[in-house]
Amino acid sequence: MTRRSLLQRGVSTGAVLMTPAFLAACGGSDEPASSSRGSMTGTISMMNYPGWMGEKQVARFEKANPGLKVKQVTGLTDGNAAAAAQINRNAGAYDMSLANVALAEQLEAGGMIERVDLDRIEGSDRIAPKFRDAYPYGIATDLGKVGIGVRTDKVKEKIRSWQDLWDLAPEYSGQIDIVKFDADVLGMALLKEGYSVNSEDPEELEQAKKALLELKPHVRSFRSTDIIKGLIEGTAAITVTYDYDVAAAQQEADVEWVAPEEGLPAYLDGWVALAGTDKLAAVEAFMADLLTPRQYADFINTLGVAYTVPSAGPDIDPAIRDNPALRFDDKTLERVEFEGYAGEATPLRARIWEEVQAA
Amino acid sequence: MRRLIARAGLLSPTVLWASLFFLVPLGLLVVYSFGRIDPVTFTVDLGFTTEAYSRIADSLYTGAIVRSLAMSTGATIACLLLGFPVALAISRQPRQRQMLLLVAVMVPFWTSFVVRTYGLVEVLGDAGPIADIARSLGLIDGNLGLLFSPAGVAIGLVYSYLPLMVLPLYIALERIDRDVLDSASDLGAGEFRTLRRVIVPLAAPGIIAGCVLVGIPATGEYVVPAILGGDKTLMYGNVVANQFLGVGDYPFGSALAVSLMAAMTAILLIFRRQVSRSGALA
Repeated sequence: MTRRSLLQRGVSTGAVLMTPAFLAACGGSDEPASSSRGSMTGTISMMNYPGWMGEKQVARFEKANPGLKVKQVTGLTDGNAAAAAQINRNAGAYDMSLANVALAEQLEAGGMIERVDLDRIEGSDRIAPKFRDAYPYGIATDLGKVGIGVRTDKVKEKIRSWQDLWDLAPEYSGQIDIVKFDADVLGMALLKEGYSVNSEDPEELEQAKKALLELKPHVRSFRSTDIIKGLIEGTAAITVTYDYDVAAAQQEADVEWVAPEEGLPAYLDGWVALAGTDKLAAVEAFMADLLTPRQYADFINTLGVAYTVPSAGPDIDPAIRDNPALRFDDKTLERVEFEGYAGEATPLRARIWEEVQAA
Repeated sequence: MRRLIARAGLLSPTVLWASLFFLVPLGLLVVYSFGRIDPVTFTVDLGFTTEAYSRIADSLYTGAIVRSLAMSTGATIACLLLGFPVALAISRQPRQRQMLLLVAVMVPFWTSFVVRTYGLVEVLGDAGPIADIARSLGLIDGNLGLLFSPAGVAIGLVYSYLPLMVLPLYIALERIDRDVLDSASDLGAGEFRTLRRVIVPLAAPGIIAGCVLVGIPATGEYVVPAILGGDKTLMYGNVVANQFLGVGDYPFGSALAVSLMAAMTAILLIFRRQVSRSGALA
């Protein structure tokens, strides 16, 4: 990016962007187009979940940065192990990636992350401290909390905790759907037993397995798609899933969002630069661009997910900002625990999930 | 010599294609199955170890094999029982109508397998037409419970693979000489006796081909149990997928896949030997 192109962006965003840190990140007046932090021209190749981007976000970024293009490569649809393997096998092919905490930790452990300098990324200080601390690998962009969606016209009892779900399961047997991701399923069982969602302790995991085996006969399905369909059509009374799913179901039926007392497993997504990139400065510029109010609002409003930048509230669609499941609520966030990389416990956790499926 | 070169030239694209996209990946799978993996960097150490194979003996995985084989056997038998009358009926039609009916059998293949399976979710679901009819007849009060159950998976397998049974059966039945059937009739055989003693033995190659075409892919099926089973049933295909995509244990995933292939090949060879001995393929 040149100073000229920056000026062309106009006064409104210019006032925010014309800081020394941003200019440095963009390779503006302080640095040549190509520096030790990489080139500011060419194409940024990003591994991304399909469609996980603001509607006009990339077009606006490219317009503001005439020398840069963003190419999104579909990935991350088959789980963290597949994504990490794809990145490792194509080292140098991707400049950056969307990555939840678990994937970022795995990539970091494998030396596959190029740490960005958050001081060079204008707006990174607007990300809430909880998310900045949990995501030091890049910028935390959004999160998905796992809670309980309850059809209030079908369930008369008040559900407040995971324990309540277990207690009521026999009464609503065959009307309970649960999102199908082993980390989430194990996470809720571990929380119910009073442990961390990231436990690697075999005894704690064994207790969580027993709890899941107790619950399973009453579960109608573990699903990764159409999870809220049952809640909407009324064939499910209780659904354990992400906050944004419940928020979507609330548009169609009388559904209450429950953030269980014991805590909520959650994924925290973010953008990381990948080792071997020759466009670190461009990646940092793209990150800084996301954190500008208009672009971040576009990102969140397009995806309809919970956000990590509390000051973005006024620009966020009220349907998201004011929704009990998605709103920035400090009390709920205190109980949120982000799912991380299980390391050597990965096979054990995977086996427990298979045992639950097989039972 | 010139003819030999021409033949080699014609065959080479196919040989190249099969080698590159079938034999090489298959070979890699076998090589990986004897390796070890670094779970962090996913670097495979290609040293020789049978560690991955020894883990398959675990009751969790043998149970998944047995469950998959049982489900696949059931689906194959159901496809045969449903497909045989259909194929027989088509083979008895005038030629033009046969073509029309065969196209009708093939119609499901015009759409994606995954889309078709999701279509079944609507049909078998608790808010679907079957549940609605059952409710209106007073047969059920709450949910139907067909979707996300082993019965749902079985229905899905039969629906998905039925055309693969009908087509080879039709070919075998269509080739049966009408004079043979007339002779059976002239000799006093009734319709059922003709079917049992003449048609079924003569259609044996089609029955075998159909069973192979249905049974093998159904054993390793991954999509149908995942969508219609609600992931409550651990099938062999799901275990393999989980090792590759969830855990990233490529050697164990490869060992599971290679073992299934070896087992299916062995079953096929034994089956073929038995059939050859009984003269069904003669």
